Amino acid sequence: MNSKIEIFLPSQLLSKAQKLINDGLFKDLNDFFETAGNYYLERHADEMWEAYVEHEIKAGLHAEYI
Amino acid sequence: MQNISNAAIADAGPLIHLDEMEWLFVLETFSTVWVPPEVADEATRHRPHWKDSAPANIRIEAASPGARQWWEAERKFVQLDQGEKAALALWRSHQDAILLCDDLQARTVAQDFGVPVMGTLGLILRAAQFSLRPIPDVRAILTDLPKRSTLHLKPALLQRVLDSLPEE
Repeated sequence: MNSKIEIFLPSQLLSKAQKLINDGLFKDLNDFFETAGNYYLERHADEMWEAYVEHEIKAGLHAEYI
Repeated sequence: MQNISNAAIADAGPLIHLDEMEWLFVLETFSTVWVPPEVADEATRHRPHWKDSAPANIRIEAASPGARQWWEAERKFVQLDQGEKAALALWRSHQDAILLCDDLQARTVAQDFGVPVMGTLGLILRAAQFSLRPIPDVRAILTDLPKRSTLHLKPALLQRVLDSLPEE
Protein backbone atom coordinates (compact mmCIF):
# COMPACT_ATOMS: atom_id res chain seq x y z
CA MET A 1 0.00 0.00 0.00
CA ASN A 2 1.33 3.42 -0.88
CA SER A 3 0.86 6.68 0.98
CA LYS A 4 0.80 10.12 -0.53
CA ILE A 5 3.05 12.76 1.08
CA GLU A 6 4.11 16.28 0.24
CA ILE A 7 7.80 17.14 0.51
CA PHE A 8 9.84 20.27 -0.08
CA LEU A 9 13.19 19.80 -1.81
CA PRO A 10 16.12 22.04 -2.66
CA SER A 11 15.80 22.89 -6.37
CA GLN A 12 19.28 21.55 -7.04
CA LEU A 13 18.43 18.12 -5.63
CA LEU A 14 15.25 18.00 -7.67
CA SER A 15 17.22 18.91 -10.83
CA LYS A 16 19.73 16.14 -10.19
CA ALA A 17 16.97 13.61 -9.60
CA GLN A 18 15.18 14.75 -12.74
CA LYS A 19 18.36 14.31 -14.78
CA LEU A 20 18.69 10.70 -13.58
CA ILE A 21 15.07 10.12 -14.56
CA ASN A 22 15.66 11.70 -17.98
CA ASP A 23 18.71 9.46 -18.38
CA GLY A 24 16.44 6.46 -17.86
CA LEU A 25 17.83 5.33 -14.49
CA PHE A 26 14.46 5.79 -12.77
CA LYS A 27 10.89 5.70 -14.03
CA ASP A 28 9.84 8.86 -12.23
CA LEU A 29 10.34 10.82 -9.00
CA ASN A 30 8.38 8.22 -7.01
CA ASP A 31 10.74 5.52 -8.24
CA PHE A 32 13.77 7.67 -7.46
CA PHE A 33 12.76 8.47 -3.88
CA GLU A 34 11.57 4.96 -3.12
CA THR A 35 14.92 3.57 -4.26
CA ALA A 36 16.90 6.26 -2.47
CA GLY A 37 14.92 5.81 0.76
CA ASN A 38 15.27 2.03 0.78
CA TYR A 39 18.96 2.28 -0.06
CA TYR A 40 19.56 4.69 2.80
CA LEU A 41 17.57 2.67 5.33
CA GLU A 42 19.26 -0.61 4.47
CA ARG A 43 22.71 0.92 4.44
CA HIS A 44 22.14 2.83 7.62
CA ALA A 45 20.81 -0.22 9.46
CA ASP A 46 23.82 -2.26 8.37
CA GLU A 47 26.17 0.42 9.58
CA MET A 48 24.35 0.63 12.89
CA TRP A 49 24.58 -3.13 13.42
CA GLU A 50 28.26 -3.12 12.53
CA ALA A 51 28.83 -0.31 15.00
CA TYR A 52 26.78 -2.24 17.58
CA VAL A 53 28.99 -5.32 17.20
CA GLU A 54 32.25 -3.38 17.37
CA HIS A 55 31.00 -1.54 20.44
CA GLU A 56 29.97 -4.80 22.11
CA ILE A 57 33.41 -6.33 21.55
CA LYS A 58 35.07 -3.30 23.11
CA ALA A 59 32.59 -3.07 25.96
CA GLY A 60 32.41 -6.77 26.77
CA LEU A 61 35.76 -8.25 25.90
CA HIS A 62 38.14 -5.36 26.24
CA ALA A 63 36.56 -4.12 29.42
CA GLU A 64 35.71 -0.63 28.29
CA TYR A 65 33.43 -0.44 31.29
CA ILE A 66 34.78 -2.22 34.38
CA MET B 1 36.69 -13.49 38.53
CA GLN B 2 37.60 -9.80 38.32
CA ASN B 3 36.16 -7.56 40.97
CA ILE B 4 32.67 -6.44 40.18
CA SER B 5 32.33 -2.69 40.00
CA ASN B 6 29.75 -0.93 37.87
CA ALA B 7 26.08 -0.95 38.50
CA ALA B 8 23.81 -1.40 35.52
CA ILE B 9 20.32 -0.43 34.44
CA ALA B 10 18.57 -3.00 32.29
CA ASP B 11 16.25 -2.57 29.37
CA ALA B 12 14.12 -5.60 28.51
CA GLY B 13 16.10 -6.88 25.50
CA PRO B 14 19.18 -8.20 27.32
CA LEU B 15 17.03 -9.68 30.13
CA ILE B 16 14.92 -11.53 27.56
CA HIS B 17 17.85 -12.68 25.40
CA LEU B 18 20.00 -13.80 28.32
CA ASP B 19 17.08 -15.69 29.86
CA GLU B 20 16.40 -17.41 26.53
CA MET B 21 19.99 -18.70 26.63
CA GLU B 22 20.00 -19.34 30.40
CA TRP B 23 22.83 -16.84 30.78
CA LEU B 24 21.30 -14.34 33.20
CA PHE B 25 24.06 -15.29 35.63
CA VAL B 26 26.41 -12.92 33.77
CA LEU B 27 24.58 -10.03 35.46
CA GLU B 28 26.46 -11.07 38.61
CA THR B 29 29.38 -9.09 37.22
CA PHE B 30 27.61 -5.87 38.21
CA SER B 31 27.27 -4.59 41.73
CA THR B 32 23.55 -3.95 41.21
CA VAL B 33 21.26 -4.25 38.20
CA TRP B 34 18.44 -1.73 38.43
CA VAL B 35 15.32 -2.69 36.52
CA PRO B 36 12.46 -0.22 36.03
CA PRO B 37 8.99 -1.77 36.62
CA GLU B 38 8.06 -1.15 32.96
CA VAL B 39 11.08 -3.18 31.87
CA ALA B 40 10.38 -5.97 34.38
CA ASP B 41 6.81 -6.18 33.08
CA GLU B 42 7.96 -6.31 29.46
CA ALA B 43 10.51 -9.02 30.23
CA THR B 44 7.83 -10.98 32.10
CA ARG B 45 5.47 -10.78 29.13
CA HIS B 46 8.14 -12.46 26.98
CA ARG B 47 9.75 -14.66 29.64
CA PRO B 48 7.28 -15.24 32.49
CA HIS B 49 9.87 -16.89 34.76
CA TRP B 50 12.94 -14.75 34.07
CA LYS B 51 13.10 -13.52 37.67
CA ASP B 52 13.51 -17.11 38.90
CA SER B 53 16.81 -17.34 37.02
CA ALA B 54 18.00 -13.80 37.72
CA PRO B 55 20.85 -13.24 40.18
CA ALA B 56 20.22 -11.70 43.58
CA ASN B 57 21.61 -8.28 42.63
CA ILE B 58 18.51 -7.37 40.57
CA ARG B 59 16.59 -4.44 42.06
CA ILE B 60 13.27 -3.21 40.71
CA GLU B 61 13.18 0.58 40.94
CA ALA B 62 11.04 3.21 39.29
CA ALA B 63 12.51 6.43 37.93
CA SER B 64 11.77 9.52 40.00
CA PRO B 65 9.02 11.91 38.84
CA GLY B 66 11.70 14.53 38.18
CA ALA B 67 13.62 12.19 35.90
CA ARG B 68 10.44 11.29 34.06
CA GLN B 69 9.68 14.96 33.51
CA TRP B 70 13.17 15.38 32.16
CA TRP B 71 12.76 12.70 29.51
CA GLU B 72 9.20 13.66 28.74
CA ALA B 73 10.57 17.08 27.80
CA GLU B 74 13.13 15.49 25.49
CA ARG B 75 11.81 15.21 21.98
CA LYS B 76 14.53 12.69 21.21
CA PHE B 77 12.76 10.15 23.36
CA VAL B 78 9.43 10.21 21.60
CA GLN B 79 10.09 7.17 19.45
CA LEU B 80 11.37 4.96 22.26
CA ASP B 81 9.13 2.47 24.01
CA GLN B 82 8.06 2.77 27.64
CA GLY B 83 10.76 0.45 28.96
CA GLU B 84 13.55 2.25 27.16
CA LYS B 85 12.30 5.62 28.34
CA ALA B 86 12.02 4.32 31.90
CA ALA B 87 15.54 2.88 31.83
CA LEU B 88 17.01 6.14 30.54
CA ALA B 89 15.06 8.14 33.12
CA LEU B 90 16.31 5.83 35.88
CA TRP B 91 19.87 6.49 34.73
CA ARG B 92 19.40 10.08 35.95
CA SER B 93 19.45 8.65 39.49
CA HIS B 94 22.31 6.19 38.85
CA GLN B 95 24.74 7.97 36.61
CA ASP B 96 27.58 5.58 37.36
CA ALA B 97 25.55 2.76 35.83
CA ILE B 98 25.86 1.14 32.41
CA LEU B 99 22.67 0.90 30.39
CA LEU B 100 22.05 -2.66 29.20
CA CYS B 101 20.17 -2.34 25.94
CA ASP B 102 20.01 -3.93 22.49
CA ASP B 103 17.67 -1.49 20.76
CA LEU B 104 19.71 0.44 18.21
CA GLN B 105 17.65 3.60 18.45
CA ALA B 106 17.67 3.65 22.24
CA ARG B 107 21.42 3.04 22.25
CA THR B 108 21.92 5.99 19.92
CA VAL B 109 19.85 8.25 22.16
CA ALA B 110 21.72 6.99 25.24
CA GLN B 111 25.10 7.61 23.68
CA ASP B 112 24.00 11.11 22.68
CA PHE B 113 23.44 11.72 26.39
CA GLY B 114 26.80 10.20 27.35
CA VAL B 115 25.23 7.09 28.87
CA PRO B 116 27.57 4.05 28.65
CA VAL B 117 25.80 1.19 26.90
CA MET B 118 26.28 -2.55 26.64
CA GLY B 119 24.06 -5.17 25.01
CA THR B 120 23.56 -8.91 25.05
CA LEU B 121 26.69 -9.63 23.01
CA GLY B 122 28.86 -7.53 25.27
CA LEU B 123 27.38 -9.25 28.30
CA ILE B 124 28.17 -12.68 26.90
CA LEU B 125 31.74 -11.56 26.15
CA ARG B 126 31.93 -10.13 29.65
CA ALA B 127 31.59 -13.67 30.97
CA ALA B 128 34.94 -14.41 29.35
CA GLN B 129 36.46 -11.12 30.49
CA PHE B 130 35.45 -11.86 34.09
CA SER B 131 36.42 -15.56 33.80
CA LEU B 132 32.88 -16.55 34.69
CA ARG B 133 32.94 -19.11 31.88
CA PRO B 134 35.83 -20.59 29.86
CA ILE B 135 36.33 -19.34 26.30
CA PRO B 136 34.93 -22.55 24.71
CA ASP B 137 31.66 -22.06 26.60
CA VAL B 138 31.44 -18.45 25.44
CA ARG B 139 32.19 -19.51 21.88
CA ALA B 140 29.52 -22.23 22.09
CA ILE B 141 26.77 -19.94 23.36
CA LEU B 142 27.58 -17.33 20.71
CA THR B 143 27.48 -20.01 18.02
CA ASP B 144 24.08 -21.14 19.30
CA LEU B 145 22.75 -17.59 19.60
CA PRO B 146 20.63 -17.71 16.39
CA LYS B 147 18.94 -20.93 17.59
CA ARG B 148 18.58 -20.06 21.25
CA SER B 149 17.66 -16.41 21.26
CA THR B 150 15.47 -13.88 19.52
CA LEU B 151 18.43 -11.53 19.06
CA HIS B 152 18.76 -11.55 15.29
CA LEU B 153 22.22 -10.88 13.96
CA LYS B 154 23.63 -11.35 10.47
CA PRO B 155 25.94 -14.42 10.31
CA ALA B 156 28.90 -12.25 9.22
CA LEU B 157 28.49 -10.02 12.26
CA LEU B 158 28.19 -12.99 14.59
CA GLN B 159 31.36 -14.38 13.04
CA ARG B 160 33.07 -11.05 13.76
CA VAL B 161 32.21 -11.50 17.44
CA LEU B 162 33.45 -15.10 17.42
CA ASP B 163 36.70 -13.99 15.78
CA SER B 164 37.22 -11.44 18.53
CA LEU B 165 37.51 -14.17 21.17
CA PRO B 166 41.04 -15.03 22.21
CA GLU B 167 42.48 -18.42 21.35
CA GLU B 168 41.53 -21.10 23.82
